[in-house]
Amino acid sequence: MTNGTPTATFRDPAGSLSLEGDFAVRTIHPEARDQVMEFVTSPFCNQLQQRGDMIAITINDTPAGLQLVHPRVPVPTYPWEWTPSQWLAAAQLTLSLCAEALDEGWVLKDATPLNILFVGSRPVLVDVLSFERWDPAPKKYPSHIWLAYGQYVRTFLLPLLMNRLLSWPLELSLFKRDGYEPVELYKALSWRQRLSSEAFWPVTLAARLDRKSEQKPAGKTPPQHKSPELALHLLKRTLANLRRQTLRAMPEYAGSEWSNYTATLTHYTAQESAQKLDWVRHVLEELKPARVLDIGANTGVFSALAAEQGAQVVALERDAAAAESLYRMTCNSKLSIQTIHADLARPTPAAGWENHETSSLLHRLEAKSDLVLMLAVIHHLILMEQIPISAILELAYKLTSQTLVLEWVPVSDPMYQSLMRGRDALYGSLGEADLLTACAGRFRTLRRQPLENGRILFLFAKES
Amino acid sequence: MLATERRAMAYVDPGSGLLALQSIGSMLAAAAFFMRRRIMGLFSKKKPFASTERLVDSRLAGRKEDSRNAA
Repeated sequence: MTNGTPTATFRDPAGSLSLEGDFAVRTIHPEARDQVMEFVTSPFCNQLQQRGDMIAITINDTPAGLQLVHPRVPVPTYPWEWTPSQWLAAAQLTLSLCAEALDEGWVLKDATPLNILFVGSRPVLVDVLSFERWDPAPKKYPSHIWLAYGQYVRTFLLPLLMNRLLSWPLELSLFKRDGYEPVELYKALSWRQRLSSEAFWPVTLAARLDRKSEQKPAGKTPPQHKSPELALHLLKRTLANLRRQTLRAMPEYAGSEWSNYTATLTHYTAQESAQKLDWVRHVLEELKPARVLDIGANTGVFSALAAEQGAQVVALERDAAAAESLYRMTCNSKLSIQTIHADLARPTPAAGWENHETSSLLHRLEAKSDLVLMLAVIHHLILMEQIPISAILELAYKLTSQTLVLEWVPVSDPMYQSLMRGRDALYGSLGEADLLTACAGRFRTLRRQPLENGRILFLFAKES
Repeated sequence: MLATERRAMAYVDPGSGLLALQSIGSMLAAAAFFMRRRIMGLFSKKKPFASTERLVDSRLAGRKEDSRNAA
């Protein structure tokens, strides 16, 4: 598939990261070597790794230079594929690690969601070069200043706030590597919103100060605090205030079209629903897949079923509220489910410089799962996205390494009828035979289970 | 003071307005810090933030040692 492995990173002056096989290799630039070695050999760094808050590090110190080797996260996700609660979890991890680092004499030099990856439902700091020695008496700026404050506000706080106030999708972060500037947001807000408790500090006041500081010429280096302990105290207050502001910026999610889908299940009776659950559970127990991709996972009922059988699950859901509900479920249940808020019909593209800084969603998912679940999703792709059945099966063929569970929805199904919207001539005669024709050369049928509501569950094996 | 902080050096952009905003927040927190210390001083002879001071003192001591070594 297109848009593959990202090339080596280049922004951090301390080192660069490249992906090599099953590992992520970080090459440290000579001038940063001593400081990086001091950090990676510190008890604090060891503690973060053991707790799982930071990615594991193997030190490879050779005469040619210092390298840090990390295990690769199987399916990395980016902030534009996260739900608000995932953003919050990543933000809270960043702030708490920075506060903890200050106690140990370190500080985070940058604070962006791009430094975090999710392993299951857990955020993990992967940019180990973010830590540098905290300087209690810097020469060029006051010691109470956290230099990453601006980046945190732009990349964490303001996207969440705009999602809450104006429903700007968090997916927009794909186009805003360094987040939003308060000045640009100030223009988009109404007077009432500008004066609201959530926006006044990080948008209205920041925008006014921005204009003011542009008008004034730069002066002398400001005086230092006489007491460094005061600076440390103020830095911690800054982090605590950011934590409060981030919590206040969280969107208030209302139920969406799909978030109540499994709760209502208008096209399933309780008996039919139990029949479907039993069949899928039986398949999972029999196949025991290590990795499962659940496409159209909704609130995660079947993802949870797979995770309970010991599988590592990637759950893909395009509806924001359903994905949010799914992520919260994974946090509460502690199951190994990784939530991705994305649309299979319009998957996340590769992004960044020359489209090589982050890879496309399909590239990250390709052949990573032993079993792919496509339950009650194919009719949406056919009728709403107008994707031909053969193209859907071709994509499923690329995504699974072994098996596919697919729920076929017949034309007579009420949901199919409501989505068809009068396009009977195009879609009114599609049937099981068309599905099986599209499977030819790609999948063979292992099992077929008709349900009482007319839908059919298939277990397909991938043809080699 | 607010205007001069644009000179801050970092590999990430600290932003001019956001830098000034952080300074305002810090000033408010500093005022609260001194007020609380004064009030605590009325009731106790014990120095607040002793653990923090120890950490900073050791850091500064380390720094001085480093510069001596460099020289």
